[in-house]
Formats: sequence, structure tokens, C-alpha cells
Amino acid sequence: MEGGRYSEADLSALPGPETAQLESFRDRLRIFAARRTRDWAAAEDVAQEAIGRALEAMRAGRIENLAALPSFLFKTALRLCFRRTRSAGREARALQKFGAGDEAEAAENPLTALLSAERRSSLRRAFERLEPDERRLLEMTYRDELDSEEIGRRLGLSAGAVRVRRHRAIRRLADLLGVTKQPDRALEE
Amino acid sequence: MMADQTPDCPNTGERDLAQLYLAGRLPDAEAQAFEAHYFECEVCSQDVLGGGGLRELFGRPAVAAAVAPARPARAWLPLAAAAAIAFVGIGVWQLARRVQVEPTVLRSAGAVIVDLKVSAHAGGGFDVSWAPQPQAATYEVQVFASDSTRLWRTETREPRVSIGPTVLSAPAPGSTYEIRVEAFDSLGQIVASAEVAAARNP
Repeated sequence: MEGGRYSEADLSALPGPETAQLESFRDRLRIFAARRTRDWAAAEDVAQEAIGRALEAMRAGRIENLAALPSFLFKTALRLCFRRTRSAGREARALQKFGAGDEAEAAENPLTALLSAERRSSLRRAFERLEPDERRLLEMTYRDELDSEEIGRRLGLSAGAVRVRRHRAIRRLADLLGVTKQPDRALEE
Repeated sequence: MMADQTPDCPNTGERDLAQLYLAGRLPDAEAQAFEAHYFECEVCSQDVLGGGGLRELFGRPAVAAAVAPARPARAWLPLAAAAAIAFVGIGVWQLARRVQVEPTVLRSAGAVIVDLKVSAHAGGGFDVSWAPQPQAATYEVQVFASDSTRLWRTETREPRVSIGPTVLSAPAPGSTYEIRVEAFDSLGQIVASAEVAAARNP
């Protein structure tokens, strides 16, 4: 990425508890950055750079308390995204000026790369192992994009009960995928 | 069936925050606050990442894109300046000491938001309204100064906003502003937009 200093090789060459701790934030960083940059490759870069900077800060003693780590990563990723979207905007305008680019096209870049093909397959298998009422609730939420009030009306539940059952179903998916103790490593490794 | 006990994070039982966030339906300020929260909250993080994966499984984008950031350089500036000079030149500003507004649609992208109207508050500021867009889930409204500085932004589900006078404090006579309205669908994609130049006198 623009100004990127950290490669995956850099991080993998530095095994240790700090690296494992930081890696647990990678998917959070990816989804955060994908929403802002509209570009999954850029989101990967932002996640990598933020983790690299946090590792550097931890080793330099600038993050003494691990409780401060989420906030450090969030602010670092926010700055990286801001810088990147500004650069991307300048580049798109320059290309558009010369008729070689389309900003709208970039804006429509679909964010469909959270899951690799392998992870998607594992998720599908786990989903099929859920109870029918759990699958129905998750389909209504994420396929049909219904809100909890509407789902509750259809299922005869309160909105609060829908939310709790939905979270429980997601947690069960994580159990089935073996990532319950590392919920922030997405759904499957 | 287990009792429906709320998980550790109260957000999970009270609002569809993670779902709204992933669908691009949270206003930007609220989305950012939620992002800061889910970086620290394992319960909400699990909802975001699990929900993102399921959205993708069902053929939707894992997370809908955030609205476009403000663009600093503006090709409309010369036109806006000319409009302001003409506006002042014809002496309309002398008609009253109250705020005067002369909207002129300068540019639009994609579908055009029609019937974009600006009216002045007696004490400064503007009321802005436009025709509802059938596909729009939210609207973003931004106000820019003549030097392209963004003065104000908000998101709304209604086809109208009121812009307070403090946003536009201390204008020079004949100062121009650009008011931009963009409509976004439920996936966060822009479906229509329009811009209007507004000039006001002290």
C-alpha cells in the first residue's frame, strides 16, 4: 500500500505473544477498512500496516497496557484509511480529468472478499448444521435484511428475543467452526 | 429452549447495531462510534464478523461501503464565483437586510435529485428540501464554503434538513456556499445527487 512498511513476512518472522494478540484483530481491521476504502485489497493493506505499527509500538514500550491495544489499532486504521481515501480521491479525479477512469466504478467495487472459498465452504457446512429455526432467523437477518421487529412479528417473538437468539446462533456457528475462543478471527481458520 | 438472556454487551439486546452497520444503514457518526466499540467488544465483534460472513454467504457484500468522503477540489468554483458576482451585481442583496438565497443547480452525478430547494432562516442558516428518491434509504447533506472547506454534514432519512446559523457564521457579503445532497440506497450505493449554490448577505 501507499507508504506501507510491513509485510506478512515481517510479522511472521517475529513470533511471540504480541503477534498472536495482534493477529486476533486482523478480521476486525479488514472489515473496518473495507467499509471505508471500498476496496478489499486496500483493506488488507490497512490491516497489515496497522498490525505492523502496533507491533512496533508494543516492542518500543509505547503500548504498555494491552487494554489500550484495541483503541490504538482503531485510531491507526482510521488514519490509514483517511489517508488512503484522500489519495484515491485525488487519483480518481486525475484519471477522470483525462478520461481514463471512472470514480463511480470504483465506488461500486463490491466488498465480497471477507471469506476465502475454503472459509465460505466451511461456513456453509456449519450453517447447514444449525437448527432450522436458527437458520431461518439468520436468513431473515442477513439474506432478507429484515430488522428484529419484523422478524419478531413473523416468529412471534419480541425484538429483544430475536437479537439474543441471533447472537446465540452466530456463537453456535463459531462453535461449529472451532473459533469460539477466538471470536475475532472471523468464522473459520 | 434456553432463556433469552442478553449477552454481556447490552447493545446486543437493544438495537440491531451490527446488522445496520453491515448494511450501511447507520449514520456515519454512529457507525464510527460503533466501530470504536466493536474493536473492544468481543460480543459485538463476533456479531460483525459472523454477520459479515453470512451476508457474503447469501450473496451480499460483507459490509456495505461507507458514504464517499468529501472531495476538496471543485470544478464548480468559477461558475459559483460568476454566479455570486452576477447575484451581487444585479443588486438583489440590497432588497432587504435579511438573508437572501438564490439557489442554482450547478452539477449533479447519476440520477438527479429534483426539486432541491433552499430557503433562508430569518436569523441565518437555511432550510433545504428535495423530492424523495424512491430508492433512497438515507441522504447525506454537506455544506461547503467557497474555498471548498466542508462546513457541515449530516445524514437523514427525511428529504429535508435545517442548517443552523452557527454553521455559516460571519460570512462576507455575497459569500457563496455549495449545498450538496446525495441519496444512498440500502447497500450504501449512491443513487442520486444534486448540488445547489446558495449566496447570502449579512
